[in-house]
Amino acid sequence: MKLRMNPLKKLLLAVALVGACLPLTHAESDFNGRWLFDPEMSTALDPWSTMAIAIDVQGDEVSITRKFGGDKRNASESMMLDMSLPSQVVEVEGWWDNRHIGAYIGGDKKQTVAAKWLDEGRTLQLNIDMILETAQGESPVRVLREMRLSRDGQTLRVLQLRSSRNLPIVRVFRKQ
Amino acid sequence: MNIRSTFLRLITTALTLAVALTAIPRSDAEQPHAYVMQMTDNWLIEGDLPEQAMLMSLQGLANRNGPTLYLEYGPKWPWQITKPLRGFYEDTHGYQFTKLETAQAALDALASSAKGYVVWDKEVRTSLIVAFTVSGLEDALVVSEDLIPLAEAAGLKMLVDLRNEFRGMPDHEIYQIAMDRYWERCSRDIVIWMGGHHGSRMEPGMADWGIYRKAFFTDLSHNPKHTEELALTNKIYREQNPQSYVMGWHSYKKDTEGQQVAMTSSYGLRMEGLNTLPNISFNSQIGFSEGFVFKNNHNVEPDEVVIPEDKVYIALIQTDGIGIGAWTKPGRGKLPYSWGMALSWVDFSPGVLEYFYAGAKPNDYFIGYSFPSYIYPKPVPDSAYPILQSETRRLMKALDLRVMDTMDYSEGNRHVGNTDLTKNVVDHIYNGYPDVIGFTNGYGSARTYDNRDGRAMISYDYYLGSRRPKAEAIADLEELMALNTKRPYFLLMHVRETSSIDTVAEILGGLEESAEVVPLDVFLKMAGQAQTYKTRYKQDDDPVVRNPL
Repeated sequence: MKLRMNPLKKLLLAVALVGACLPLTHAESDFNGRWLFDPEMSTALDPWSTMAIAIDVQGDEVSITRKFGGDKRNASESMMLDMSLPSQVVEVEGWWDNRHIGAYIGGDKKQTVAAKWLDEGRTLQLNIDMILETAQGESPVRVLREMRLSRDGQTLRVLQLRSSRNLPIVRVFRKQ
Repeated sequence: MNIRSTFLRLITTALTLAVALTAIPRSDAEQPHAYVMQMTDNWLIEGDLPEQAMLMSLQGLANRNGPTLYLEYGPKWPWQITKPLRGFYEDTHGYQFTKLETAQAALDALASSAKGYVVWDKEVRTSLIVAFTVSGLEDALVVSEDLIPLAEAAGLKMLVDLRNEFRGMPDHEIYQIAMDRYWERCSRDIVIWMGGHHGSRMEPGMADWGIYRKAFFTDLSHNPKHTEELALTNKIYREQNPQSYVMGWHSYKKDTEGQQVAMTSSYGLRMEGLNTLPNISFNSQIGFSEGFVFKNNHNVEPDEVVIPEDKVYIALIQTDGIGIGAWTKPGRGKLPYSWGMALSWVDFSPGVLEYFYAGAKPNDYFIGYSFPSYIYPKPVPDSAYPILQSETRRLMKALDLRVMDTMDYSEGNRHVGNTDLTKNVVDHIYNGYPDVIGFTNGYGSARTYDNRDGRAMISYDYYLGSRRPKAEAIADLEELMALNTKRPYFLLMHVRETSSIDTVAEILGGLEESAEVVPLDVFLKMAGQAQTYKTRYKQDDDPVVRNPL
């Protein structure tokens, strides 16, 4: 049977379809901006005292810069991801996630990142393979980092599991 | 002459003298005596700073006549040992202290040590620093305007008036004037950096010592952004005697610790902190008690070979300054702990060192430093190494020290940059200290490692900050154990001075994998026998961050 629709119904259907797609597009772009660390709701950040994440989503390209600060000392890690690729190699400035321990970025500062959008674009998941250099040499480490956007788009929760660490890290950021 | 009556007269006189002597309290007759006065924790210009600065100047002047005035500091003062140290002087050196309750009482007792007074300007904080210089040179009590009546009542006359002299001037102009007037007459062996807190507050704990030694006082910048101040700073360092002392601390407002110590090190000068270190004019005159010799709690013989098992070994070190922090807190002795010893105190605070050695428990182990004072090795010119290392060897031997720590923040810190040693520096250290059984490096984590003839150099793998939650600290240590998979694994841990040993014990007790905490000398001996770490020096492409403000 041939489905017959009048122009008004076609328009309503089109609007409905576009509306159905909107949450995805809308959520991904809601990641855009600068996110400031909320220490009260987060795993301890020391020795850093401040942290900010800058995200810029432009189609398949996602730029993520994590800035760590504290007492006149600052460091940043930035990566540009192509979401159309299943996996890619990025070069970072350093590994700043835990400066209490003797572990430094190794493997020529390269990380292999598999990135994907999940939960209708409300979660950006990164699977990172990297090398950390320690006293005894280089050691492979896996990182699962999920960046989850709240319904109101004002809170970003970053959950991180590191294969070398027994505790998960949960950090909360508020949109600036 | 009647011999009998003469004999009786002699006997009578002797008895009278004996009675007279026994009438004097034994302490007055035999015990050394000094005054003690309590400082408050209020160091604000509009608070207690003016009166306390005056008392510090009085201390510096009075102690030129021998150890006369000792100051005790409040519970918030960084150096927590002033009370127990006084008790130690009483118990072991026989000192008897008379308490002075007021500034008036202090001046009544000791104003004669001053020839007059210098007035500083409360509107210009830097004028107080200049007044300290004047005090040492002119034997002047340091007073603010409101304390003039007190000084006058003590019979002192005004020698120098700094009121209205410096208003509206930047520091480089003030210090240029001070140098024009006083620099030529000041000591070239010691200069005092009266930095630390700034603004409405000053903690001039070293003022007595600088006055006692006629030092120039300043808080000039080491920051490349402050070109006028930096030029004066360089002039001072250039004109100091070689290997002389820069004592005090940098200004938290102007520059960083890394900037100052990198610069003093580049001149081969000896940095001694902090600006808050108290009572040196007194302590420098208290020698060792009779029969005292330094005896460290060694756990291995220098030529002993110790073979490790396949497990994790942890050693704990605190190097922030033995008089601040955990030494006076509960828990000491519970774990093998190493304490960085201030080598130069052999010469200017010997009694204080005796206090620490006498109070050491079997688990307390003292270690030295790669230079006689706080010096970063990378900026030190090669030509300055021999004399500095010779002095270090003398002090290490005097203090019975066999393990040496080093630290270099000239190109980074525990956050960014690097704190590692070049091969050239490591060569200097190994060659200059043939009697040292092992070396440690860093402050936060670092990655310089070496092993020569069983003498290991191990960098800190962990920095335990005072605010680190216990669960995170446990996870940190377990992460290190996961990343360093070979056994034995030698995990060297630096503990911030404000972390108590009880806290450290709780953290180590929470580890999943069994780890043995061992004395540092045993740790290094084992590390010298089983090199599971990779030899590494500072690399050309390591990041460099020169600690900007």
